[in-house]
Amino acid sequence: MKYRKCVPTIVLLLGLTTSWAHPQATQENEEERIKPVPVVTGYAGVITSSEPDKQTVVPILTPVFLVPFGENWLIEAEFEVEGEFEREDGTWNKGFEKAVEYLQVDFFAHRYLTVVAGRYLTPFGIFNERLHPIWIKNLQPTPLILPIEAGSGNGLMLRGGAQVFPGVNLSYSGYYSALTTTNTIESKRMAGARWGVFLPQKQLEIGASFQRLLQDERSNSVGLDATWQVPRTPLDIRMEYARNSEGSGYWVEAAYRLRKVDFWKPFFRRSQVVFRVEQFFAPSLIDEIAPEDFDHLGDEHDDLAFSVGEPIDEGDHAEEGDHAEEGGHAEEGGHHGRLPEVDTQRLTVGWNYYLSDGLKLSFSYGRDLNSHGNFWGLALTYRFLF
Amino acid sequence: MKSRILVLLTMLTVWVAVGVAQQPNKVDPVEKIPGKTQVTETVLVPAASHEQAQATLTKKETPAFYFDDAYKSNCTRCHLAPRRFPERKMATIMRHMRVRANLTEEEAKGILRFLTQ
Repeated sequence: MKYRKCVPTIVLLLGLTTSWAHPQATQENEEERIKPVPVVTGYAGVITSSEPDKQTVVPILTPVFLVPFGENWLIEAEFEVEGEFEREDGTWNKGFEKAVEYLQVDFFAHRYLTVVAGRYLTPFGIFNERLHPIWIKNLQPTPLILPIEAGSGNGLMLRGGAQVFPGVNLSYSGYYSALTTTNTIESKRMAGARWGVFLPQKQLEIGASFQRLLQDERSNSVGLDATWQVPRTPLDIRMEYARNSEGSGYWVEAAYRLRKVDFWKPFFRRSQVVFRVEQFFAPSLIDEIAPEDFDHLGDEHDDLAFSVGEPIDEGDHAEEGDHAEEGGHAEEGGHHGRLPEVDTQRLTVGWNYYLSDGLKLSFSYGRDLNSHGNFWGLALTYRFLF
Repeated sequence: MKSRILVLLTMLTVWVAVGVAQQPNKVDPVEKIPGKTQVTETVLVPAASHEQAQATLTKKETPAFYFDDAYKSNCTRCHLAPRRFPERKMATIMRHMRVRANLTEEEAKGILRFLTQ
């Protein structure tokens, strides 16, 4: 209820900022030499994964529509359609999903300020907003902590970037999302922000994210991320850390283009090897169960003390069959799975081969170190533009 | 209390936006480089003149960024170097990327010119 009082203030601030910025932007925007035209782009692919007793084939089509108008406007939308063919216990199951990843109107209010309205990808961390397209991400299995980043929101966002000092760029995104329960455009009621510092000469970006869920348990999520392109070396290093009431975890990924291999150059200059290590820490019982939950037990409260503060034991809280969908390696198309129920450590290695511009063949092998075994993946992805 | 924190966070974000928006245009006193194009009020130097520009400019006159540097540092941070599409389509894609990568207007224009010239 308290937050409802904040909404008019937020809307007022956004309105004031927009109305203030618009005339200046109009004055300062010089005539564009090149007139933009509507564009249909996007990506498609087939992603397969195999793990003990289960094989999955996921064809995906994700068109992106970009419609510019005026000097300072853009409508952009990304839709995702995917099938899911899953073979488990000798039988094939078929599924079909569709979703609106984003459908937003962008207004370039000022050189350092863009106002976004509609459905947008939540700018929490870097993976959800920037790296989720299958033609961009280096490994098709998604990080374990991705569900913390919350896919899309419906509402308003202010964002932009500026050079605050020579060699230091600052970027920011602040958003508010309303609760939406309509199928394919679901979102939670939440507000959050991400701030990033980018050092172009060092090729280093460090970001921090915060998000407040304004419904249900009203919990907070925090995140840190970093991207570093090692100078004079075709090595990209990315990492994220995220934490909320459902757990915490991190991933660190290194991707190396094999351009400098001296032999079989036609092959290796199109190849990239990738390595990712990640961990997820499930909440302990003491985090999940409030002390008052024991009050009605009276003396029995003491008997339960042995489990308070200990990690949830895998054997008690997770069934083997549940694991397949954790962390997203069996549902790469919908880029959000659900968080593991137990502490999880995972190593994944991959190899990408760029057949041509936009066409990529990817192979990945991963191993969960908490006894769930191996999983394999093979994917063919293509980015198109009309 | 929590609502106050939320309002403060929102105001902080808006304040940052407004604060950077109020910065005056950076017009560095760079002398024109013979035979090269000086593009906008903010100093943008085409990729071809990068080395010459660096040799010509004094430390005080270092420009905000170069086209090719802006392209390399922003685009390849997330994905491979983009293919060059027709310029009017590139203009649309740059609007999209200006939002996604939080580029400034100058960076977006500079990258667009780098990719279309």
